[in-house]
Amino acid sequence: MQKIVDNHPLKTFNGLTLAIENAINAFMTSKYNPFYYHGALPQYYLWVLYLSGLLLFAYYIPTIDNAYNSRNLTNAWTSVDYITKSLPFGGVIRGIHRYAGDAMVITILLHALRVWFTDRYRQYRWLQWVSGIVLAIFVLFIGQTGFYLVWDDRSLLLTRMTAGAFEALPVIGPGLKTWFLNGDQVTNLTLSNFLFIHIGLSFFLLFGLWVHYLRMTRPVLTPPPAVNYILTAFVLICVFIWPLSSGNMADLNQQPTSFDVDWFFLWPYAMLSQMPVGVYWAVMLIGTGLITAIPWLMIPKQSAIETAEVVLNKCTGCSLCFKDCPYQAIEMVPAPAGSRFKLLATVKDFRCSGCGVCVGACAFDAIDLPDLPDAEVTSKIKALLEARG
Amino acid sequence: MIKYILSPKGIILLAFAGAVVAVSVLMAWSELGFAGTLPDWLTDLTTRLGLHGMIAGFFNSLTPGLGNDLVEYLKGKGVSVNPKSTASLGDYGYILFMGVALTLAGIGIMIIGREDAEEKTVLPVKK
Repeated sequence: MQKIVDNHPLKTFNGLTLAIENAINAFMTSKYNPFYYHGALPQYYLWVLYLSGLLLFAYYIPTIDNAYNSRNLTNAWTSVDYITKSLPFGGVIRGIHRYAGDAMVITILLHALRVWFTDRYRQYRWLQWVSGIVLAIFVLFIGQTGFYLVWDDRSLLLTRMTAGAFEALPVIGPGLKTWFLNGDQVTNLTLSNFLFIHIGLSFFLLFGLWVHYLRMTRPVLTPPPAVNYILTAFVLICVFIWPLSSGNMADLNQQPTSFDVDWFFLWPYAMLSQMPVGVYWAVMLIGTGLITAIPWLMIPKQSAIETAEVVLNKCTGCSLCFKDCPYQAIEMVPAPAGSRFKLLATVKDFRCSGCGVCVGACAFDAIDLPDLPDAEVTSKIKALLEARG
Repeated sequence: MIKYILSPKGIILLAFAGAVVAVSVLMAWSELGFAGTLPDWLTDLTTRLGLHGMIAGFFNSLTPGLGNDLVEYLKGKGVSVNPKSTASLGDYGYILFMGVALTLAGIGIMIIGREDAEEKTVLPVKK
């Protein structure tokens, strides 16, 4: 285990993050500070997306040429047009679905920056970091398939760009293109596939979230209602300020040459349009690899800190440290023969981050950090409190 | 009671209560597409109370041209509705006022819940 040294860049970022949080706490209590629910914010938007998506799914028709002639809705574009212009509240539900997706990307970025800047992404938390990146990539791809589903001229251009980018990949390229288009060219089956990917991968996110929470003892899954109200209001007001409309219906005989870029989801296409496809894949793969490797690249060169140690003759086996440890680093084992107590706390060194939560939890001075004794911490806290009056 | 109402907390509560009522009425009105026609339930209620002419007349006197700016803004942003459908530009007005109401409600809860959320620092006493 290693700690951040004073001159490390993360120390500055950590200070900046804490300063922002303190500024927010100055006019609202910590109970409602959204930064303390940063992981729960994207998840709240996920529920909004599920609900609004369910309503859209009821009226969406995933074809390009009148495979289901229902209520004169001939294809995906006309069904989206019907939802937007004819269905009561259809336009705003579509807007909520779109802007909740954008808001989810914003909150995911805030979440990632906070766990990075506050140094909660590495060592035992590497699984959260890596699974979080996988989840973010899936969110990006799911959002992009949402843009294909509208089936306007932008959807057609994005579909062709994606198929071309897949095809350029060595070995797996042709197979990926066939999977993506659900055949060799754009057909009704293509839009069925887009809808399946859009919805199927969305539910896969739940499995990914399960992995994301695996090593967290008390993940906060839901922000308080007041924060949820503000999160919802943000989306609703965006729907009013920037109401959605579709482009022209996609025409397979035409080749659109430009599109409006949504910078939350479509920035990879903006990149792809500016560079050769080989360079694009190289940039994306190297960039993803670098971001994934941050937990290992950012480990500062500093001697390891010592992990918590149990004072065997003081431990009563009460389990308080076991319950409070955020890293599941404490294990309760049967006490040795002759002990007055049934259980004994033991520390798993490879999971311990030396955070000291267990020291605060113990009522019997039975666990301590060797390089930061309990008595020293208590005296520092007293000095701080006295200094503040 | 009067002392409480006149206190800063009471005034904030009254202001929020008034804002919530006003926004709620505006939501119902926007749902009608800002057409200036009051909902049937209001007409029915005021008729039963014998106040129909007074209240409906007062509100109707406020409505001419009141929603035009919002409607023109939305049309300028490319929003259109099928003339044969039951959807309306008022859907967007409803969403706007719902957003404002949720913002006010969220801020109100945060202000009122402030005292409850304050934590006391208690140093543990080791045995």
